[in-house]
Amino acid sequence: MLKHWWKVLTAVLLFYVLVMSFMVKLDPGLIGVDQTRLEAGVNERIVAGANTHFAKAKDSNQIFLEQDSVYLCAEVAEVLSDGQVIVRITLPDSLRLSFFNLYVNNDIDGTMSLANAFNAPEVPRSPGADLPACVPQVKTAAYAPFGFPFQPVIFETIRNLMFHVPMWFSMFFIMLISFISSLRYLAKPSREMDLRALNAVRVGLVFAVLGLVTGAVWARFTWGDWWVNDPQLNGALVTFLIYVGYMVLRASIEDDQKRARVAAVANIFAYVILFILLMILPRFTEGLHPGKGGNPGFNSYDLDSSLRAVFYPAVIGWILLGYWMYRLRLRMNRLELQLYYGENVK
Amino acid sequence: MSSKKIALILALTVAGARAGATTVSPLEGAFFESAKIYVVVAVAVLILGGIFAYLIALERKLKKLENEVNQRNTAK
Amino acid sequence: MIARILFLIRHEARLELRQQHTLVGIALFALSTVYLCYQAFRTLEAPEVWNALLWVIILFTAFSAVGKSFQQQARGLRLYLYWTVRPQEYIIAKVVYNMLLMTLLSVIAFGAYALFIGTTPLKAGMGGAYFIGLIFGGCGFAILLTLIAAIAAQSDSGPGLTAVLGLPIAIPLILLLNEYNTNVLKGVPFSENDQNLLLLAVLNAGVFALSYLLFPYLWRD
Repeated sequence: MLKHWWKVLTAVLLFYVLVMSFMVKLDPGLIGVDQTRLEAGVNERIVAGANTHFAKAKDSNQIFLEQDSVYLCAEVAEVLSDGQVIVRITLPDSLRLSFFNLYVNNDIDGTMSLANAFNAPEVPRSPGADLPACVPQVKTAAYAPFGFPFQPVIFETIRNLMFHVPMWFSMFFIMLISFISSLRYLAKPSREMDLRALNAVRVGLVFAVLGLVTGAVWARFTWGDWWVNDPQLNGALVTFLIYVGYMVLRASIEDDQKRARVAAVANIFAYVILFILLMILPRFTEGLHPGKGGNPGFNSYDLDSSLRAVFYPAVIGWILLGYWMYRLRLRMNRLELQLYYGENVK
Repeated sequence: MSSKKIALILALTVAGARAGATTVSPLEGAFFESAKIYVVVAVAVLILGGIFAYLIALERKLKKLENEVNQRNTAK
Repeated sequence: MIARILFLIRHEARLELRQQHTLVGIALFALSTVYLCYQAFRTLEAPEVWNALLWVIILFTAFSAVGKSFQQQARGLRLYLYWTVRPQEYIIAKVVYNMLLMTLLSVIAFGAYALFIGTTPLKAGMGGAYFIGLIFGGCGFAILLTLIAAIAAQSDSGPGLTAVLGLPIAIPLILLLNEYNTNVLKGVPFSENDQNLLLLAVLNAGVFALSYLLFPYLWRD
């Protein structure tokens, strides 16, 4: 049992991740407004929130519009439910207007924001016609819930972070095993190293396929298309194609030793190019994935402590599972060779 | 008020589709309306399904090996 | 060592010129592809399509030119080389020769392309910058595909494998080239675009170094 501690750890981690990914609630946040256009004068708009407590928080609801750090206070006209509130916004006649960010806060949910929630016609600012000054009060949540951050467009699918993303971590880790095995093969040829490289690629490909398929589903319901042009996606597809090419190459060489040697060379070449592609290129090109400007993603600020508490175990758990699968495949392949060719590989 | 509520429901239905701005089929509408929790379920099911499919394929190979061993043992 | 590399390059060139059908065949391939595109499109106004089409033509020219650079060796010659030169010298010679070949073929392809389809999207004064991209791209394909061709030559299925292995690996290079050349066509000044060129150079140098390190393992037989 002691020998298998890491397998127990895998099971515990993945169980924890599976439970937490679905059980943890999403933080409250603003979804949208019924009409984004504002006219001068009095406007009534419905603001919708998810997991919010507008009705429960009653009188403590406060609403602000913000533009270039200047705030405009709006009134709460009517609270329809926990998720919906009607706000009354009075816009002065002459304003230098473009887009407004919306802030809603109350005693229970704390402060929530929605970027560029409203827009209004642009009128040249006449001197002295500033936004009516208003000092917003920032409220912190009454309770500190252990929740995943609320992201516009992404919403509940932030939980996919625990499933889709670790597929790529696992794949990269398993391909690293393959890469190191190939290096060790070239340094000192042995059947064992060739077997390790081959079986790591086999299992790595499974994770690559899973990553591609889940990525496509997620992209369809957040970015609106099964496939989008994005450095990470290009990288993922190239990875997949390169290792399929590796398998084709292996299949096309009869001689065992020659196959092992040539495949090792191809594997090392492929991994280095892949490393360049995945690590360097996305920094120079724009994309939809996290870390780039103007995308609904998770930058370092968004990966908050509650998300981290599940995400890191998820990455470790899935990597360990991948390693486990690789060990099984490797041992089976050894047995196969031993059986058919009577070779003792070890 | 009721007309406003209808407008809100409409706004919410398309809220998820705003990014893509493509037309929403009934199935996709279901995905968007339920705040996309089903996307997460679909992704989790795909991953578990994929791993199980791999395990089944592995077991089949193992079965072949076992049969081979058994045959040899009986042949002896 | 340098003398031997130069000798090998000259030897490659002489071999290529002696079997004229290969070089002429590839040039003919490039020309007829361009002509086919001309028949299909006549003129191309959109810079993206114009650029992409040219690169597709150069890419496939590279595959047919570099892809079989290890296939046509006679067995006796191979053994002779095996005993007389070091693999490092041989791969350097091969890569340099392929770079020269691809530079020539890129220029030919670009000339034919300019002749038939025209250079409307190319803004005045940007020709030089585009040409640098063309040379970098041609050389990049040559470096990358030389090792791939060496790998494919070891397999039993022949040069067909070059495409299977080479196309995915060429994608980083293609993405970078596309970025650089699209910027040129957009009229982005060179000072803002030189980072892409630097990256291309680093990528090419890295692949060259990798080929140098890995080729000896393919050489022993």
